[in-house]
Order: sequence, then C-alpha cells, then structure tokens
Amino acid sequence: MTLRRLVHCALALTVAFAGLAALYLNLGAEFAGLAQLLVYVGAIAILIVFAILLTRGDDTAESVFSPSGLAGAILAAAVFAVLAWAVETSGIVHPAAIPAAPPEPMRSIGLILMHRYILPLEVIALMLTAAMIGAVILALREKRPQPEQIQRSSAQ
Amino acid sequence: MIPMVNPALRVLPEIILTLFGILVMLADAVMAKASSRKPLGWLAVLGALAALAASLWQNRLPAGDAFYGVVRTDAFSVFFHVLIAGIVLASLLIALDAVSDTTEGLGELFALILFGAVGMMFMTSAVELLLVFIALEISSISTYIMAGFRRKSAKGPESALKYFLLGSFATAFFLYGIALVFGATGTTRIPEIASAIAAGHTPAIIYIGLAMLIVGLGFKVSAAPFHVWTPDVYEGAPSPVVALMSTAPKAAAFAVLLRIVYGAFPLLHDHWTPILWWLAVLSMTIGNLGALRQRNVKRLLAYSSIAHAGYLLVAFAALSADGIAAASFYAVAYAIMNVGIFAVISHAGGYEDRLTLIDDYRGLAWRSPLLGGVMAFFLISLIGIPFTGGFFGKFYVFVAALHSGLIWLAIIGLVNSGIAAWYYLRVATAIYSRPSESSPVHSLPRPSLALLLALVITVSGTLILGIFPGGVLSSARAAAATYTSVSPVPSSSGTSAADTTAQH
Repeated sequence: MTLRRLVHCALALTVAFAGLAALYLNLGAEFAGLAQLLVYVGAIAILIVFAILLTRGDDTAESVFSPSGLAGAILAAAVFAVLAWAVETSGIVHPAAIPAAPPEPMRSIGLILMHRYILPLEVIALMLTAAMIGAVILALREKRPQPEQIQRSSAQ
Repeated sequence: MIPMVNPALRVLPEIILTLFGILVMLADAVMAKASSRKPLGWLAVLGALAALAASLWQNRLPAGDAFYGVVRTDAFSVFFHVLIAGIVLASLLIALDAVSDTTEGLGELFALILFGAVGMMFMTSAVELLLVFIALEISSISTYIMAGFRRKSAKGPESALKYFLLGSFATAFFLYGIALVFGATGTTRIPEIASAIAAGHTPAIIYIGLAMLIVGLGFKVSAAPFHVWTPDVYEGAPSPVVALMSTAPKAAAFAVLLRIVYGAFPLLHDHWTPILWWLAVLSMTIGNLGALRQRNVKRLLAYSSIAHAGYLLVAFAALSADGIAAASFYAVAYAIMNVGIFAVISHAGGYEDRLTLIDDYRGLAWRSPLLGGVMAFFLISLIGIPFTGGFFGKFYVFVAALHSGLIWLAIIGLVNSGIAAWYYLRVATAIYSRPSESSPVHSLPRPSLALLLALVITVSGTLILGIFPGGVLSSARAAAATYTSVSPVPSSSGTSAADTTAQH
C-alpha cells in the first residue's frame, strides 16, 4: 500500500500470496497450500503483472498518507482488534471444525467434492460461465479491449 | 418415512432455466449476424414459462432435501421459485418491448437473465451456506454485467462499476460471515447450525459471523445504511434490467435472510431482532426522505425501493409466523408493482432512457391514456391504497408488527407511508397534468404484444393481490409454516432433529 509504483505493489501482493501458502502448508493442508502456490503465485500474480504492463497504469504521485488513508488504517485496525478479540475469546472452537488430517487428503477432497458438494460444484460451472460471458461482453463490445475489466471479471 | 424423489426433480426449474440459457447462447452463435435477435427473447420467455410451470409442479413434491442435504424443496422454496420465475417472465417481456433489432448483445442479455434467475432460485432453495454463496454470486455477477449493458452512455459503465465494487465488498462480508459461523459451529448446513447453537456452541465469533451475514445481505436488498449504490445503479442500468434487479435478486436475498435468521439462528433472536429493527427504521426513513428530493424518476424509484426494503424488514423483526408470511406476501406485492411500473418506464423511455425527469412524464396520460393510467395505478399501489396489492402488503406487515408488540416500529412505518404518498402523488399529478407548450414532445412507440402481456400480468397481479389476497396469503402462510421454530421459546430442537433425520 505504501509503495508508489504499481509493479512493486503487485510483487508485494505475490509475496503475501506465498506467505499464505506457507501458512496453509504449516497447518497441514498440503493441497490448499500447493493450490495456493500454483494458482495465486503462479497464475494470478502473472496476470496482474500483465494487466499492469498492458494498461501502463501511471504511478500515482499523491502521498499515501492522506486523511482518508489514515481513517482507513484506523478503521482496519479497529476491525482487526474486534475480530482478534472475538477469535481469542472464543477459545477452543467447535471440535468438529478441527478434524484430524485424513491419511489421503487428495482422495478425501475428491470424494467430498463428488458426494456432498456435487451440486455446488456443478453450479460453480454456471457461475464461471456467467462471469466469462460478462468478461467477453465488457471487453469486446467496444473495439478497444479493456484488460482491466477482463481481469476484474475473471478474478471473480 | 419420506418417499424417494429423484433429486433432479428438486432442482427442476433451475435445470430448465440453465438449459434454455445455454440454448439461447448456442442459437445466438449460429444465427446470421444481421438477423434480429428478438426470437431469442421469445425462446427465453418460453424457458421462463416452463420454469414457472415446473416451480408450480414442485408443490406436489413432498418437502425434503436432495443432493446430500444441499437443497430443499418445501412450501417456502416453491413460493419464492414461483415469484422469481414470474418476475423473470415479466422482465423478459419488458426487455423484448424495449430493445430494438440493433441493440447490441441481446443474445447474451437474455442468456444472462436466465442464468441469473438460476442463481436466485438456488438462493431460495439452498440450505447449505456454500451453495447460498455460489448462487448469490451467480445472481450478482449476472446483474453486474446487465447493469452495464448500455455502453454508449457514460452512466452505464459507471453504474456497473459501482455495483461491482460495492457488491464484491458485500460478498466478501457474506463469505467471511460464513467462515466465522463455520469456525463456531463446525458446519455450513443451516439446520445443523441451528442444532449446534441449540447444543450451546455460541462463542463470540458466531455473533460477528451473523452480523457479517446480515451486512452482506443488507447490501443485496439495499437496506440502509448499505443502500448508497442503489440510485446510481438504477439510473445507469437499462430500465428492463432495473425491473428485474430491483425485484428478483432482492426477493431471493430476503428469502436467504429469512432462511438464515429463522432457520439457522432462531435461538439468537435476541441479538438479530434489534439489528433488523434498526435496519428497518433506517431504510424506511432514509429511503423516503431521499426520494423526496429526487427529480429523476428512476432515482426516485430507487429510493422508494430502499423504503420498501425497510417495510419488509419490519415484518422480519416481528419474529412470528405471521411476520414471515407478511414478509413473503410483501415481497410478491412489491415485486409485481415495481416490475409493472418499470414496464411503463421502459416503454416510455426506451432502452436508451429518453425520459428521465419527472417533468418529462408531464402529460403522459394525455398522450397515451393506457400508459398513463397504468403508471398511475402502480403509483397508487406503491402508496398502499386499498384494492391494490400494496395495501394488503403494508397491512399485513404492520399488523404482524403490532401483534408482536413493535408499536414504535409500526408507527414509524405508518408515518413513512404518509411521507411516501407525497412523492408518489407528485409523479402521478405530473402524468395527469396538461403538457406544457415548452416541454419537448417525445413520440411514444406503439405498445408491442410483449409489453401488453407484461402489463396484463402485472396489473392483474396487483389487482388480485388487492382484492382477493387470500390465495397468495395462504401460500405465504404455508411457506412460513416451514419455520416452526420461530416462537421465542427454545423449542427448535425438535425441528432440527427432524431436519437431520430427513437428510439421511
């Protein structure tokens, strides 16, 4: 947020993604961690860098420490404090929320996707179709494509 | 023992709409470039009719879950399915009337309306928060795109962008809420959440999760203070799209809100009724006061829709089966009259919005007695004058509030209805006053068959609700009866036990 150049911000975001992946791996969620690494660090970060490259977003000259920025920071800190307090006082969460890591995580993820969550899985396909139509429409209607909007819609 | 029902039948309307949506897109691709896309609209109308029939047919299914307890068909879901299918049908007809053969992206518009409807229907039948979230996203993404369909005017993209940014923010709230509730209860199934709470799993994060769910949904129904996007988006979006998005996604979001607060958190009602109380008061007051200052008809109706969301929330706060029934009834009454008034606006103003200000509507009744009369009729219904659907909608809501002892809320609501009458009548008098010499005269296109059909549906719907409300009210009561756990006494363990046995 404090970096002036957009590319640096994108790279910082990539580092954040990688950090999240490390967190997942630490928690024993190998699949989520590796997927995070592949999808976010591997694909999304590249996409963002490309979007910046293609749109040539001019670097903003204004200072980041504006009054509204300060208010935002205070608000964010307050929200964090409340959430941290809530999570802290909740103590041990519902035991069912921390299942023992299954011996074959991939296999159980596949099974649960094909059984309990089969309908949501199918419906996601529809959501992606709608999002894709939207991206194409927004990008192609005017002859000049707008990468920003493509990326925005596909990020959904 | 519940007889086995083919799970596909439980999502039949959704399947039909998806297939027709895909069919529209495929037909759009193979049609000659220069040919008119209007037949695609009629194809979509056919799909909406089929979905309506399928939804009505679902009434004959025994209530129960399908797909591992992810969707549930009961009187409640069928009620909202029928409502959404009806709104989509009317909106498609309005769109068919407003667009011309040269309007760009028509095939996609019709397909997106159908896809969006699938999302809204899933919202009303899902009992798994994960599916609720995905359905909400389908419905939202389709409406974001449709809001920006008029690329030529600067307002279109602005409207889509605002809607998208604020909408994703709200979606993030909703998702975080789901995550916190999962953390507290270990499940995302609505009946299981209720039983986990009954078993005493109520750490602090569950309250924050519930608050976040309400914030996310409050945005979707444009309740104050999450309403700021509404006027801009309605102003920038094409009128037929506004007819859809000011009613169907809201009805679906209200259904989700009902399911969540009454289905998952009935035991925490001490915490969410005050929130809904304040949301109702703020929405009614801010909506009506905001509408007073508007000169643009679509912005005025946007503020009026915020106020109507407030009246609906009054019924939520009533915390009784009557309240749920009143909320469901109000959703129908509001949807029909709002779609109807946007049918007139869309025809008079066209896809490109030639008429925007109240002054532009001056003398509408002189140029077209039919359109002027119908618009005045819907305005009267929006005020809530007897013999229209709006009257009984408000009547049931306030009666439910009074029965639950919410006297202040009912008084604030009635005062607000009084304020609202003023600005609705301002539009109505403009329609019936003689056009001034200086005002530019816009030629009104001849009403097409599609528009007439849409007007017949909405006018007769409003009249039927206003004169014979019994039929819809009894369906609304049946829908409300699916929540037997609404009484403040913690007696919900029985139902949640029944819920968990039903899924096996």
